[in-house]
Amino acid sequence: MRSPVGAELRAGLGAIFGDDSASARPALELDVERPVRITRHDWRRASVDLPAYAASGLPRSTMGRGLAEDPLFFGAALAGGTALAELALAAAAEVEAA
Amino acid sequence: MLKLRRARVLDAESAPKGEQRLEIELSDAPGARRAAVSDVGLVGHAEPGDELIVNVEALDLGLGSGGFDIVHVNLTRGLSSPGAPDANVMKLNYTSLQHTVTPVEEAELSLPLQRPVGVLALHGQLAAVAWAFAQAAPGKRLGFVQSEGGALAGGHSRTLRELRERGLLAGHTTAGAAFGGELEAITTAGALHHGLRTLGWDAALCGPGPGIVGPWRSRGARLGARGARARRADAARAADVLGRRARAPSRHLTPHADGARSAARAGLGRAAGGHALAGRRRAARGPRRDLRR
Repeated sequence: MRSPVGAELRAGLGAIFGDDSASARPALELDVERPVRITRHDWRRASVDLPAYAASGLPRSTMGRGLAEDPLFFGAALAGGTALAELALAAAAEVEAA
Repeated sequence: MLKLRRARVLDAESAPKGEQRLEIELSDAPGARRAAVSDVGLVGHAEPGDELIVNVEALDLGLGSGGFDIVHVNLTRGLSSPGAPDANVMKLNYTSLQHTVTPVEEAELSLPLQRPVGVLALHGQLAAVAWAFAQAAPGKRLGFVQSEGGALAGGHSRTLRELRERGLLAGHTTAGAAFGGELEAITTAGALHHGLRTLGWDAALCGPGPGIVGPWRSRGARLGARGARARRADAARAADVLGRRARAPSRHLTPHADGARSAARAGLGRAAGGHALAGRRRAARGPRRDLRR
């Protein structure tokens, strides 16, 4: 995995999935405002809580890979949901203000 | 040519709608139990002892997402449907599975849409997106528009059913060739417009059903498996012409260094950990038609 925080993510997930080598949730810090390669997108940040999602009882595997094996897949989806919610709230506020 | 076989139902779960799971045996291989599914809305319920014609192609090929036979027709109790005489729009048209629907498309457009649309590349993202949406905006209504690219049958996704039961999705419309949702639409744009305008969804998600068309065998084709980008662009364009910029979880379909997987890595770049959402400023290059003009 090429994620620079992959180990930290796995550490946090390990707390859930029983890996004794990691006992804390990941504390992730973004070290850039916007990745250089992202130039054509509206870049947004959103916090995600993989352990809480793992505890939700909803499906946590994709194409045979579990959440701990592919945290970026689920992290991106969770970020997408959070950002979409923020947009929905902003849109509702716009409509109310109009 | 379809790979159809005669079969008999050995066991059947109770399923009032959606998809029914069965155990069957083929007439030419008695005693060998096989998993099968029946789309209740399309071919009706099955009961133990029913005689069927099943499509065995996927199970015989050992496809990862198709580990079951699919009921093509129930010879015992599926030959007396009255049809839907009041509907006149066909889905799966010009195939033996064509059936009529009443689409949601309205005569009047009300644009621009003032609510956001999220675009999924894979059905596997749906649960996580819907859950996170509910956490961040409790009480807001999120609808799902199922497009083409994965399973066409709207009743196939158990995840979708669970999300509806838990109130994490406000509705489910199947668009284009996809069928069997709670509502039917001819186009993705029509489904989004109806959901966001008429049904009052606060936001919409658009993406394929479970299973992706040919993810492995066509992986080298830029418009094959990697055509997930193209499909996502289709959905994004639909939102775009309705006046909403589409948003999409960004990490997909960049080849991984180990070469073993087509799933992507680099979309989030150094901001990894799922802390980002990237929405394309434009859904696709080239001229676009804005329906508002």
